[in-house]
Amino acid sequence: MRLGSIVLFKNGYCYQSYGWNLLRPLGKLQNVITHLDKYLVDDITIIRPIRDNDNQIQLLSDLNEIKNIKCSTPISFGGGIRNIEQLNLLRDLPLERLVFSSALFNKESSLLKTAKNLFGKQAVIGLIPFKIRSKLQVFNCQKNSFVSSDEINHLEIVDEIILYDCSNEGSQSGFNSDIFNLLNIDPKRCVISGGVANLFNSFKNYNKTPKALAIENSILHREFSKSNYYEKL
Amino acid sequence: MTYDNQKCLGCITHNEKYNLDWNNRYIFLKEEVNKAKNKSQTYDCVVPVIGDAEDYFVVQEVLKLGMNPLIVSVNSYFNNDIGWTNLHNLITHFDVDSWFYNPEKQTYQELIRTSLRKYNHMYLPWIQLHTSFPVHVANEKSIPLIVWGGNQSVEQVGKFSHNDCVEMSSWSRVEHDLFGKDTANLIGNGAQVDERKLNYYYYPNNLKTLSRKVKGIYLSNYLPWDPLKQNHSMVSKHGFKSEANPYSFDPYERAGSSIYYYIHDLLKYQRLGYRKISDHCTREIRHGRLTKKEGIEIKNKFNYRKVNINPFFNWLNVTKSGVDWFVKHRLNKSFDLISYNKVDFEKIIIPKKLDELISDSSKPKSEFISYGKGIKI
Repeated sequence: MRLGSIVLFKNGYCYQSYGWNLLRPLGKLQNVITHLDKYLVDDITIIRPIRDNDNQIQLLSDLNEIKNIKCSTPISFGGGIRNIEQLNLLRDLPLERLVFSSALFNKESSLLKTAKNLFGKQAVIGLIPFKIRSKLQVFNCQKNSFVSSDEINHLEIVDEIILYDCSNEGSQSGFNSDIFNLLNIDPKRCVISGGVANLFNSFKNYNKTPKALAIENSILHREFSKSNYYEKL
Repeated sequence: MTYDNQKCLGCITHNEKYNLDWNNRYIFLKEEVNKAKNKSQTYDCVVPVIGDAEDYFVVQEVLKLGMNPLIVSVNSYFNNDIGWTNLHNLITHFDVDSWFYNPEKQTYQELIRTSLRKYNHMYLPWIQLHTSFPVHVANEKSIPLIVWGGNQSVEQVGKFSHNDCVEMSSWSRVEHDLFGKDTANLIGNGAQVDERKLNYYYYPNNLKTLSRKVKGIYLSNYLPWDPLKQNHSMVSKHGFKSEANPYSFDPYERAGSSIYYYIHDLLKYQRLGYRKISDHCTREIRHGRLTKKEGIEIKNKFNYRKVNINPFFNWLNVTKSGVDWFVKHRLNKSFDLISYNKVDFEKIIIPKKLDELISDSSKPKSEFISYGKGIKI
């Protein structure tokens, strides 16, 4: 099982998010990446937490910073890529994979198919932010609201799916594994995030192990080493 | 500063204190202590100190938890006589073992000059040492725990929640303690220093081993942190000597330093646009000992007090033309706050609720003492 990390990055700064509600500043991107590199995580997913408030200048500025990152760990990137022109901006960046969220809610699949043609299927990742209260709801970034999971499309086009538990985001544990049944997705296709730092509590009730973990905020809250992390399992 | 619904994160995080189960947190702290005791062979923990009131509080709590600490301190060369007295009294009063490190002075001063040139910061080299030397000691002597006092990035600005229980790490050191400027950034290609003398300025680089061997915790994650109240009690309980402070009502924090409220505070104003008094007023507003109106009034009274910059530049062996250049180019927002002579101030009256926690304080007799013997036995 891979162990990765998710970093929220917007307007030249990294943030940590709590319960999909409160953002706290995390620091400069290069410093974050340098340390995740040192901690030997398997991959780093940089997400721009775009709701309905993006603009092209911000996007270009953030992409320029990503272009200049010094890093030896594979990087995935997503957030605010909503048309083919924007997709083309990513072609010269040092990215292994691309993460799409709002594209999963589009009726037509041209953006995802173009990404697949340009970068290969293995490079196209879907991101589903969700919360399970009385029922499952998923976050549609373009609408900036939680909607029914029936609105999700095109999962067959993406390679992996990041399931991001918004309710448990920023907590040590509590990732809600009911999502696998509710979405009827094979865990072996999934990267889970949002309350996964403490594996003991998160995993003990799982029937199947997901493909990867992506720890959000808390990976930087203490001195970390991937091998020591696995030893504790 | 970051805001959420008109409230700053510092206030949001401070308000967590009123809803946390501190008894439960103390149990977590005891668990950490027990783990350390089970692993330790000599000392249970390292306590990094500078000799101010917070250090007294930390050592008090560490001993209360039954730990055998090693006190570790890095000489900043900026202590006055009160600073040395407090540092040595801490060791003798609590009767604990200590390890003092005196960095090679020529290199240290060159790094300060470089830091001034590059970042308008004179304290960075010492902070680099203060945040790395104790880690080296713990790592080399296999001491499993480092106990720090308050975590500024939680207590002051709310970059984390108390619930995160953030620990010391190489990342947070660079990001928060060093403002993104580690030693490699500092020396760059401008410092005239022998890199072989910089070992302790760098954080240990064996993160895999380090993360297994040493854990650094902050007491403020486990105790309801109230610096002024805690520090006030250290005077009567343990003989801490507070220092009359012309630049803040707080006579405890960094008492005994010849630079903290002087050139360091001036440079902070130049870089960030506010002085330490703003931090202190904010803290006391959050703790309910000042109203916002009182806080603003007090800040304004202290905020425009001039600082005599000559003692620091004399210590650094900077020529008059060098000082003039620095003032002209690097202190250009602070001309009105600069003095070249000793400055005397009248006492500022503060509200009674706050004044009750302010002890009678001493004035230093001598500044910039490189090596001091602080107590008479």
